[in-house]
Amino acid sequence: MGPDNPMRPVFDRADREQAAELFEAVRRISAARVGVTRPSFSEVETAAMNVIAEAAASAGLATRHDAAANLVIEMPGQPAGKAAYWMGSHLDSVPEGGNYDGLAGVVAGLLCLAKARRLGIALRRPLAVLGLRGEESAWFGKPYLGSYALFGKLSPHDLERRQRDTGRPLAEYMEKAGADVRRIAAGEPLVDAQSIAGWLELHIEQGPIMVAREAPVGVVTGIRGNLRHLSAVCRGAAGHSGAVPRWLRKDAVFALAELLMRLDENWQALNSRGVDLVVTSGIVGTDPRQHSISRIPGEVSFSLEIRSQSLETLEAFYQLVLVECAGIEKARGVKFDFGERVLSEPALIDREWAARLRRICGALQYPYIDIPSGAGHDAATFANHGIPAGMIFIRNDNGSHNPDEKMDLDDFMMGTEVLYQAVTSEPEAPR
Amino acid sequence: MSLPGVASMTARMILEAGAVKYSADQPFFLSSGWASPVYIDVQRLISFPRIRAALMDYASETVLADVGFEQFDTVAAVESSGIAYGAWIAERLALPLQYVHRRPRGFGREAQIEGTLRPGARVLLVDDISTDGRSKAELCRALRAMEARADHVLVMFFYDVFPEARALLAALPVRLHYLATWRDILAEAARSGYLPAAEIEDVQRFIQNPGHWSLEHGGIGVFPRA
Repeated sequence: MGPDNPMRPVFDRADREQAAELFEAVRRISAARVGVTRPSFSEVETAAMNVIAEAAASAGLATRHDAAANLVIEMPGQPAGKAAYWMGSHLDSVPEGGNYDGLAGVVAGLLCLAKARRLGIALRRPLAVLGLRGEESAWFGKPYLGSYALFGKLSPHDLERRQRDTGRPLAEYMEKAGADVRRIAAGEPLVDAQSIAGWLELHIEQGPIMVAREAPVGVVTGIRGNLRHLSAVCRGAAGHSGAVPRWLRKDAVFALAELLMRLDENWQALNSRGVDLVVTSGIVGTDPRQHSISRIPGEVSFSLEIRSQSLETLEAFYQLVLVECAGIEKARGVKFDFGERVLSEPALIDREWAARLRRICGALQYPYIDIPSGAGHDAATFANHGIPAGMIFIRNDNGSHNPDEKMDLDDFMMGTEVLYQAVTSEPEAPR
Repeated sequence: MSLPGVASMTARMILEAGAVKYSADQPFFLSSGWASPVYIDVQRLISFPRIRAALMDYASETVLADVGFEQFDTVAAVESSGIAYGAWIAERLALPLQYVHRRPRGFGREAQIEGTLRPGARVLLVDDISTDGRSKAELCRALRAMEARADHVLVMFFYDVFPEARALLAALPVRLHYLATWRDILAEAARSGYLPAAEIEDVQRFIQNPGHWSLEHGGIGVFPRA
């Protein structure tokens, strides 16, 4: 297969229209003020799942829910006993987010399965599409809930995590969605990892690089992990803003500000030396019931998130945070209490998958680039359980986690084409 | 620059000290947001006594040749990165020394300076490196606000890849004196085989269009407004 004998695309105008209709149908049921809101394990997420399941059923595909209440779409009458290729992504969204984040991967998988059935091709392996729940950490403070549950990686403590708006525990939401909470709490794996030969996830790019490089399709080379403290506190001592001299103060906000500036300096130095790292403190606040313009803040709560492709960098930077905190505590008479630490490990993309995706892009004559993923994805969960994982990125303007994300449907169809060829037409991978 | 042989010898010293690194997969990010395939650590040279002595001779001679022997009243070094070089050059040129903070500490005429600076003094501002010229322009403006005459900047290394940098300094106006640029490093690296041909080619792509290379690798693409 070379440029002289290009691969023939299988998708046509009708498929493109079906994709557009599906995106629109899900948007309609999850429209919020400016974007879409599909909270993890919520009724809206379930409704989105039902839209996908109905479309799958009318394409003659079998649908069911797994024990974590994720949607599973399969080809009827597939041979059992052979490890399958799984495709898919997540169905939830951040509050007021974009419609394509996650959903694009589920719709792409569905189109592939429907096409394979219609064409009646002989499959090398069974195929399945997953519509995963609860990937976004915005709702329960932890990402990948749907895929973690599949591998028995949620603890009873995780199941007590509170939903950000209602304060109700995750277990309650899972139960309502139809998940087997008892098995999940017991840490029981809900799937046999040996039965999965590979995971392929199509997702929109959530940064600006593919637009800049004018590439509709991206082959992902690695996934950043993150280390998080969702609710950290810096405690000093409250006091009268006019009466207490500088040297006697224990101002929690100035202490936090110093910490962030020190981290910024370290971060900049590491970036200039080529270390992959991003640092964010997305939540910062003094208690509105107590704070006042004339009161030295005795307490400030904040979040801290460190992301990197390297686990070593995450841990090394974390040690640096602790050292800086110790210094500031001493100098300013405050105390940092970081609370629970949540680690999502970086993940390696399978080289075979990446090579296969590149070959297919070449054969289809699609412009593509290699690109690391700055954001986390369910693919990381599969990769970290020894399942060869690959990811296809779709060009997307205006970033993500906001209502302005802009994916071109033509780019999406190109990515879907690559996904289809990857699971059907390539010779066997060695697994 | 005007003195023959200085640029290539400086490039040789920089390479010999191991101060240049190449990486396209995980680019280096300058503080201003530019992504770059190469990284240069000019501070590293201060640990090499023979290299730094030669470098300081070149630097002093360059300024004397470019500007003149009696054209400066003092040397102002940029906070941390320029202090060692500034001190050695002040010693060679027999001039007073002060150093400039990147931002004022408190307020008042000398809030941004350590040492003492006479109004009207003709200052040679010294730092290790200039990338896009913005911080040097900023510091010259600050020195002028202190009533000093800041018309000359001396750096050991100038990126010379962002066309806007020269325009920015010329508009003040400020003259930039330097010993070597990326072109000199590349010429030397190619001659000595320090970098393989493919890497030199990639760096050349960066030099020819840094905005494009940077944007392609996740950095900023346009020169930020001052």
